[in-house]
Amino acid sequence: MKLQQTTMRIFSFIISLFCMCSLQAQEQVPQVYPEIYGLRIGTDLIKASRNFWDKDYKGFEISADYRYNKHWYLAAEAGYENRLKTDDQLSYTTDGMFLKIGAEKNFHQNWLDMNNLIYVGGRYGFSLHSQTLHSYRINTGDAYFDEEMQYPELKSTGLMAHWLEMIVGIKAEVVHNLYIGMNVQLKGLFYQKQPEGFENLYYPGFGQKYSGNIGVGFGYGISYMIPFKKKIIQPVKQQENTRK
Amino acid sequence: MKKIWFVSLCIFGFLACEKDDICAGEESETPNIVIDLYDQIEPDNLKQAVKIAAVANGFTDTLFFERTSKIELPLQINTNATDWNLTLYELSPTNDTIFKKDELKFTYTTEALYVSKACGYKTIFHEFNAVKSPNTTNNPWIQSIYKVTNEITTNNNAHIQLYY
Repeated sequence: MKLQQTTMRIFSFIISLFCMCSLQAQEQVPQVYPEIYGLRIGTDLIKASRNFWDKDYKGFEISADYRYNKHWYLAAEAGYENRLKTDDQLSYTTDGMFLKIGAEKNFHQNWLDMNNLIYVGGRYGFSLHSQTLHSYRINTGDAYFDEEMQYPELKSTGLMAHWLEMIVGIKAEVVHNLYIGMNVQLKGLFYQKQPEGFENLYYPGFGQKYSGNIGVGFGYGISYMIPFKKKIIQPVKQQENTRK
Repeated sequence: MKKIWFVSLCIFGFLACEKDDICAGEESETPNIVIDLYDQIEPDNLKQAVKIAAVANGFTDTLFFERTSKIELPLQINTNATDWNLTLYELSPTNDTIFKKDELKFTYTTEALYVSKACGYKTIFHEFNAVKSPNTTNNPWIQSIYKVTNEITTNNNAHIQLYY
């Protein structure tokens, strides 16, 4: 029964996405639905689950957002990541924490009493981490001398990175006050402290660095909303469907 | 508006699958010792060798250089010295091949230099020194060598001028 309700909610949310543009004003029932204001707290399921399926990874992310007004939400994420990467030429571990703060705007016009979001937002991100170079191979053009792998175990601490992030995503209420969300992030580094004789290749909260200091991320989160207050919005008077 | 989101979603998706950069280019490789071969009679002129065989001391592989006035020898990166045995192939007036042998000793210090994620590290060499071993064979061919630089960082220019 509960499951059916949930399915119905998701279904009606999806229907509302595609149909709302074409919805015409119909016979009005003067029903008013309040807008819920509250604090939503959640976690990223990709990072959480990766602890189980990737033996080279440990980490988590706690996220929170707070509804500021009708469209705007204040949002933040914080977490910890430890990741070992083994490439052909080198292997290294990045370890540290991150914090992202920002805001997002909901563009979704909710139908009836639903409380879903399609949002676009921005973040300022910051990481504090260390990077340990476990091994590397010297790149020699020819293979006359068999060059062995070097194992320096060189740890660089006190590294940091600052970046800006654009985030696009959805959050859907699947059970009362419980949300499932998906988002993608595009990030650009603007300041970082590099290890000596090496390079930051991965950052907690930022992920892998691609050429041009660009990073991308994908999140799949679950969150719970603690409602603080309900705001009753007086319905705008519906205009008659006039046709010429 | 929704279309824009969908398109940007797709773009991010493709970006996430972007292939890691590929390591290419001589600048990302550990440099070799570049030796220019000059004529001992006319020291301004490069002199082409018919064939030179090079074997590092303690190793068995042979590098061959044919009809060239420039040879390139790698250095070992986990020690501070590499010795190369160079054999010159010469034709005698009776059209027999004569083998002439000499040994060059290189000493240096190494520094590992980070290149990139795809390339890893390369080694450059400091305090480079090169000497010709005192003649041990009765058939030497190198008259003298002249070291051009103390720092081996690229393959672009000769590091040693060899006269024979």
